[in-house]
Amino acid sequence: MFSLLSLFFIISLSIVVLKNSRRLVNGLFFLLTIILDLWIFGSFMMISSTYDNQIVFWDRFVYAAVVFWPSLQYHFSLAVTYTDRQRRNLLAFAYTFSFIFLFLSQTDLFVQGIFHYAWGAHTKAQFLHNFFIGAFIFYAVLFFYNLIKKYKSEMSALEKKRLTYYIIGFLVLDVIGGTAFLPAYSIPFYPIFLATPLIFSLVITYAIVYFGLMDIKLIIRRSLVYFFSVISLLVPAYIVISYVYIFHPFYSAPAFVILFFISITLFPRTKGYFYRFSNKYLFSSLYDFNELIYNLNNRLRASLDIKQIFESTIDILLQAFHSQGIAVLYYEEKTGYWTILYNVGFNFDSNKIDLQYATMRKLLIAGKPLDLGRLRNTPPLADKRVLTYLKKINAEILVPVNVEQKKLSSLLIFGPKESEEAYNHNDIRVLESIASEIGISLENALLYRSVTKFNLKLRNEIVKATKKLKEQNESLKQLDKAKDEFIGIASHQLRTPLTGIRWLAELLLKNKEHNLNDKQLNFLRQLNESNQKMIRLVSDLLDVSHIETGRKFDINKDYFYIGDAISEVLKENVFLISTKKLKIINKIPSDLNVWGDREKIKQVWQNLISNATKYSHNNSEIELSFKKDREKQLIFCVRDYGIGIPAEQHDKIFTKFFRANNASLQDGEGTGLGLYIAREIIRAHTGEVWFESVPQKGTRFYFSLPLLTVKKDKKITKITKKKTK
Amino acid sequence: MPSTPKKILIVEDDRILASALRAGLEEEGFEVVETHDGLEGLAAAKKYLPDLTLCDISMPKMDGLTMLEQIRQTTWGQYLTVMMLTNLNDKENISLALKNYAFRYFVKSDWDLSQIIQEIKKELKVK
Repeated sequence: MFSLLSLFFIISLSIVVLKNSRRLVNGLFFLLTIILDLWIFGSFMMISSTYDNQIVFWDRFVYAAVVFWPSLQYHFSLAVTYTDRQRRNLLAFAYTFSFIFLFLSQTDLFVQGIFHYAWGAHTKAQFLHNFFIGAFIFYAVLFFYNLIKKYKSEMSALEKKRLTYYIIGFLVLDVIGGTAFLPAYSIPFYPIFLATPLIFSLVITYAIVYFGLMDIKLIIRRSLVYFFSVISLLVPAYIVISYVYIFHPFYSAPAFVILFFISITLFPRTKGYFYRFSNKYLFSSLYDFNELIYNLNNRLRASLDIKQIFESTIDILLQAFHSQGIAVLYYEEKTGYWTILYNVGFNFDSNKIDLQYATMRKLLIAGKPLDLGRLRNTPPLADKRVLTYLKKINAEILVPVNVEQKKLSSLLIFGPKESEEAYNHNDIRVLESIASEIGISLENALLYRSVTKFNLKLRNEIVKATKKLKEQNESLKQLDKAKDEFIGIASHQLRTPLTGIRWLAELLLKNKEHNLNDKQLNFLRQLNESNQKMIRLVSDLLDVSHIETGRKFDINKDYFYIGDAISEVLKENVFLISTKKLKIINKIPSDLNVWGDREKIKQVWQNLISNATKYSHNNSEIELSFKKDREKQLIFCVRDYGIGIPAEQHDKIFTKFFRANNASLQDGEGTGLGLYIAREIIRAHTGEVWFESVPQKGTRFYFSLPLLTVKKDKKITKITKKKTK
Repeated sequence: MPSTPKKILIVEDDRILASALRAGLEEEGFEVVETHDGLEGLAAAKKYLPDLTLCDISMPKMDGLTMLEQIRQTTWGQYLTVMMLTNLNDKENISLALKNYAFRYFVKSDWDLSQIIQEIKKELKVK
């Protein structure tokens, strides 16, 4: 019974170990368990055999395996204590010895004859068997020597515990298991050695579970969780079923169905509970590697804030590892101290920690997480005080976070896990991967911080500059307003005396008493003309000031015959027209009805026609025309064959007080306000003014007025009808 | 020349403009009464009941629009013909004047004296 249980445990242990055969220790341990399997199996067969030849066969079978025990065990001790390099010769000798005895054990010089005793039988040891026992003891002693030596020099409490379990496990095997040799020397002894693998595997399993021995966890963890979940559901269910069956047999079938469904529904919750339980108290590494990395990446990507980067990371890591402490130290280059960005569970004596930067860099030169518990030998030149300090605060893992090509910038420090389990290979891998991710995020955050700082500075500058500009703008606006008001008032005030001159000159020009000679009358006319110009200028300035002060125009819209307004304008300009012998071709019908401010539109015509007249060559033509544009607007055109507008001045022509070069030569008195005012008037009617001009060929000025109403003009209605058809 | 000359009241604070208007109108045979502020104008209007009143807007003591308003509130003044004559050509003034049945609204500087007289003649049907 014992032997079978032992066998079962040893087989499952070997499978588990094989699953994690990454390291030499694991491989060796696997081979050792195989030997144990063969040993127990062979011994069991030998004890239960009745024929002599069977006994000899199984015993030789056992020896074929056991001869490798001393060498493998010794090799294992070297692997565990990391001293394999210095002991090559002894190891080579051990293996050679094992292979020689593999052959020798099958000869009669090794075992011969049968010793029967109360609880079984064994072959009798011969001459060569003594050498084997000697080697067995020699290497067992060396094995324990290695382990104990390592135990004494070991700093990490965790590693010490691991070594303790190895020592206990192997001591049980070698001492109690060693009793299996006694019958060979004709000493009857109860075969308790058959139970040793059971004890051994229990001890090692315990160590595996609690201290992460040899990085195995998956199978044990899952199977235990499932096992307990199923048991905790099955046992009550069984009790209930039994109860129902005994006392209410009639209801047993429906009760079974109901219980079945209850169990099915409860299973995930139970499983979850056991997972959490085991997470907290048994295995800290119950997390999905990929999911953890994915979550962390998501969190890291979401933030550009240094503190937040670490906080979100640590939150996840705490959930995964259940560490007793996690801290983040950030190296301040200016001060040379490490600042604690985040700390749970560690007892730092101050907020700024003095860990020599050079030493830290040396310790973490590989850029990988450093397991202080497994630190074999401290790198040379390392400052011992740093290690002492880290040990004092009970740090177990140091994770370097590098930025900008391997520059150590931060440290993640992890304390032991709550379960006291060691950090396993997976944990270290996670931490390594996280460290590089954090490094990238940190780099981004630092970059962002400097950009933000710069932006802030820039923004302050802009705010300052804007404020200054605003103030300047405000004072300019006030100045401008004052100017406009001044122009307005001045223009008003100017108008009255100008009107006085106008009317008085007019009265004089009538020459009722006939006492003025031609010369005097001529002077009077010139005076009047000059005065008229002045009045127009004042009027224009008043308009401009109205536009500029935002009052725009007082537009009094109504229907009016635009042709009549044009005729009036032509009459007012008749003097210059006849002087220059200009031919006016007016294609605009007198009864064309338009919606707008008659006086203002007339002013536009006045400005356009007087310009056309002024800049026309003598004896040329001026053409006034209109067309309808898509039923939406009327487009009027004033065309002259005059000096034109130089191309480079086209974009300035509507600018206030602007006058084209050639215009000033032609007419020295213009104000440069006419086109500006004309455009403002047309825009106030939601129309537009534009032009086409070729120097020395002439200019076409256009303006549009929106078409809002039914026209009295027959021609237009006709066109409209045609189009609507 | 009409047999009975039409009476025209001028209310204009600028003496030069007032006298120019008076001269122009008298030359055309009108009987002219010249006043220089709103109060004077109101009194003269009541006294003479002119056929037509030419009234400035901005004047001392009483402005033209107030004067017009007061004239319109009297029984005698309801149907008096009043032409506003001003240099203030903004919307509010125009609409105020028209509200009180000013017959016309002239922007002084835009008009020749002869044009204004022409308009007056047209209104009073004088040839």
